[in-house]
Amino acid sequence: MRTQETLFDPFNMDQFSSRSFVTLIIFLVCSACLKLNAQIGGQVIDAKTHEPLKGANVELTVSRIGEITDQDGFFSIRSNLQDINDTLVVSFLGYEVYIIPVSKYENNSLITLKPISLDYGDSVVVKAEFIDLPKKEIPHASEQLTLREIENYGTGEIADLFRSFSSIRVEGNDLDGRSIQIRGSAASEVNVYVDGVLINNLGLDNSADLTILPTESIEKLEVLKGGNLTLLGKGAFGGVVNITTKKQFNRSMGFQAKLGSFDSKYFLGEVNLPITSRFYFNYFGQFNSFFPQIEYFPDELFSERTENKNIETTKQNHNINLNYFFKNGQFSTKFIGYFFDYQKPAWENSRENYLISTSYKGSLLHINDFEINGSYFTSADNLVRSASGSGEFISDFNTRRLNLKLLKKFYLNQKIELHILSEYFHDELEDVQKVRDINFQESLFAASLWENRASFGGIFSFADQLQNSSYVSWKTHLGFRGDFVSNGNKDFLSTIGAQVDINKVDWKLSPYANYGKNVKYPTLFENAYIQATEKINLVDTVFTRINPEYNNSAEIGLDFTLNRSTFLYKNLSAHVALFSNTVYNKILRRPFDFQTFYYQTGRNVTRGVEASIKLHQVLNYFGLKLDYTGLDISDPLFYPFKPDQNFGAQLDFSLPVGFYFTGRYFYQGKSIAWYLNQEGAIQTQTIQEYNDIDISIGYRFHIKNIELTLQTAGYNLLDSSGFQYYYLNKRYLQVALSIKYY
Amino acid sequence: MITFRFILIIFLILVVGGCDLDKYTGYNYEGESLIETARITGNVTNTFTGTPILRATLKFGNLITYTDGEGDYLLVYPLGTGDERNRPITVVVSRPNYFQIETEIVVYPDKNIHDFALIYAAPIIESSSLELISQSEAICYATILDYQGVDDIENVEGVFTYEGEGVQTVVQIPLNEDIRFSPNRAQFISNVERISPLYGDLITKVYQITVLDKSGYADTRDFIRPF
Repeated sequence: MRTQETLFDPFNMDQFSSRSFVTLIIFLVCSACLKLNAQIGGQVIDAKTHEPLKGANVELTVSRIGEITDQDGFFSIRSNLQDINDTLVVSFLGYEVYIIPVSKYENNSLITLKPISLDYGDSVVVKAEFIDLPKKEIPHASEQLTLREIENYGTGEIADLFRSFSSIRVEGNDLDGRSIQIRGSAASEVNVYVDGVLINNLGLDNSADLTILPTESIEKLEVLKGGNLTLLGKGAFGGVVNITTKKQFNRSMGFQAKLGSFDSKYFLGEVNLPITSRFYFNYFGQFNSFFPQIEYFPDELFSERTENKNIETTKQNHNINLNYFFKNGQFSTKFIGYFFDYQKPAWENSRENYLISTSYKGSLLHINDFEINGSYFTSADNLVRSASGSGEFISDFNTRRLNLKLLKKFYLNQKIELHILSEYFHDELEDVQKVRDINFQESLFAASLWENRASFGGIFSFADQLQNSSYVSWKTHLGFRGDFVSNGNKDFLSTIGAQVDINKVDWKLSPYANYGKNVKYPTLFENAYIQATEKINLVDTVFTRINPEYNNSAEIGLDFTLNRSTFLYKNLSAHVALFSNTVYNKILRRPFDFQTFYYQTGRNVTRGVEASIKLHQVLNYFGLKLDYTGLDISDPLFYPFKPDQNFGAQLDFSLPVGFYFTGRYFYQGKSIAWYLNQEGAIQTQTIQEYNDIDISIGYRFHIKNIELTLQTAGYNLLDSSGFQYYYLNKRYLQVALSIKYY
Repeated sequence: MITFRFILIIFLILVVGGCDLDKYTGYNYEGESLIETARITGNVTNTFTGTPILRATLKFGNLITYTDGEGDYLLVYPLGTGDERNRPITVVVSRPNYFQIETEIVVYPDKNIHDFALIYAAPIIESSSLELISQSEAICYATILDYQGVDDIENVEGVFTYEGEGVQTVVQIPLNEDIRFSPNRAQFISNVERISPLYGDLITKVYQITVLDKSGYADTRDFIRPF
């Protein structure tokens, strides 16, 4: 029944001969020499007042490179990947969208944006500005991935994209959910936001399932690392992931089909439609079917695998965005639907997840710079098991989360800013188990749990320049947050951070530091479990009251960018950080006899170092990234399966038209896992290190307004791992064809 | 603007008043039962006789239970994520002198009934007698039942004690097949000296018959000397 991993090897990699590889590289270098380098710049001003507009969005639609205008309305997009068919789009809240083909754009010219006015002849002064929370957080380590890089990666799973980030690990599968871990944290200690809405689940583990979105619908992936982020990171001891979905304001549509190993098929479609000059509609959809060939049994140990050829999974993602621009603000509504069906003989699990979110940002009723957001996230998990002779066992697991959020920005004076956030959460879950036969239906048990929470938080930031030297500026941040849970738990915590920017002509050095405290409240299930054990007098060896987990974290880091171009590369960025996370009251679930016991004596200290270096435009068309993470976890019982070392090397090659290539090698060091032996005693096991390579190669070209991309991607090419026992590790190859019409 | 705020307040009052206020301000952690356990029940019988087997050991995964006097067992089994996904668990049913059963079952919530029938593996000594044929000689008979067939029997022995010149000696005398009543039942026979020139007089009050089969299963029974 159980076999080793060599079983799953649908493709023979020997087919890739070295000769064809060399030919390919020569072709890549030749086509690289044919392209020219360019830079687009300009200034954005108000058409009526002629005042410069700070914070306007400037985007190249085909190259997908974007920027935000600076204090004086200037922007400059550096792009060697200049494309003659590209379109420059400048958009700003309260103004009409400015669209011009790059071929007609005179470089470094003045772009005047017309204010949208509801009343004719009445000019509107727009004070609204988007509140970009990740940028307002205390200084921390962050990394991001933009649309073009995501496309070049060619994967259909968000989880795979995270492999190109340093100190991030991904685990899981479609059935358990794909979750990410930052700097050796647990998956439940990472908050994931989709356009500002928290998508962490309400089940036992409280982690976020990243399968909710197809990668192609993502505009930007952003990871904020660190355990004490004030506004976004409640309970996130590892960090925060912020996903921004695509919102294109020009008319376009696209279709993509992908075929791969394990009989996998992906069909994707997108429609972007400006209905009026103020009202925009975007739709993105995906259908996927897949035959995983192995069982996903979370309690299988290490390299155990159970083969099953009769499993079929299907996935559907639907994503609708509606944006309406008022004269002083933007109204957005978002709908995300994720449907998953997993079938095997006598067993079927179907899931439906809906996220509906509505927000208004801008100014309204004489209140400026605010954002109000209401979201409703539901998930229904239905499991039907048919047992011969005893009918069907049905499990219905439903969760609902209502979230109301208010953000407001205050300028106290030129040097002091205050961002405040207040939030309300209503979490609710229902778990019903029943047995059904032709003649009868009987409920086995039902639980309905709920909880409410209110939080408020804010960040004061003081910014100033050093006297006598205009190139040194500094900023200090003071963050505070109060949380009130309806069960009586309340905490008031604060964080501090500081950053110094040393700006010279061709280099910039920014050392930063932060320190703070964070709290993570027990999940609904954890609380309910303690009450249940109390009732049946099973509490003699464990605690009767569950306490929140606390985290103290500190980080010092350094960011460095060098814009001095040499013949080898155009610019260089480097990052190094030292961090320490101490977690108290960590809850450990451990089965014993026929019960699960909860222990809350845990204290763990994770210390680590993280470093990365990125070379842009190496030999004009290549990108090179190296990263390293070292971790020291004091108690692996609370954090098992966390490699002590990670190393990654990534090489990109990209042309706007023609070939592109992304290859990534990564190494994961030794980790410690534990399991319970037959006597119920804890046994530890050291899991060996492993290496892997992911490669994606594509070719894209244009015919008038149509962009065609042909891509092939391979994952886990060197797969020698056996330890991520619930991660579907196997060689995977895929061919994709996509068509886009502008 | 006053009208707008007025409408907003009325709307909020309606929304707040309309919903279950406690649900949106309070908490509830009480469920009917969150500890998910299944009951596995059944009985264990002898395949040939249909009689219940007591003190049989049943091992479901890592959990062990035993049958009672009626051959019935009960196990409270905690359901794990694997069980929820129909991952089969290994069941081992064993009892000394029976062939062990090893099988896989899927555990469902609620009731699970699994009956097992064990095959008796060891030979059985049904009866034995010692008949005097002369002053110095006797014949020992033993009827042996083996469900696996008479041919599976390795050897049958009688154990007798002699005493001569103050020294006691235990002598094992092999019995040979005499009459085969059925494919799995046979009579074994051997001559037993009452007065042995080697060991002296037969002094044993109770003699023992032992039987061993080819798989190593054995049976031993004591019988009283009739003379």
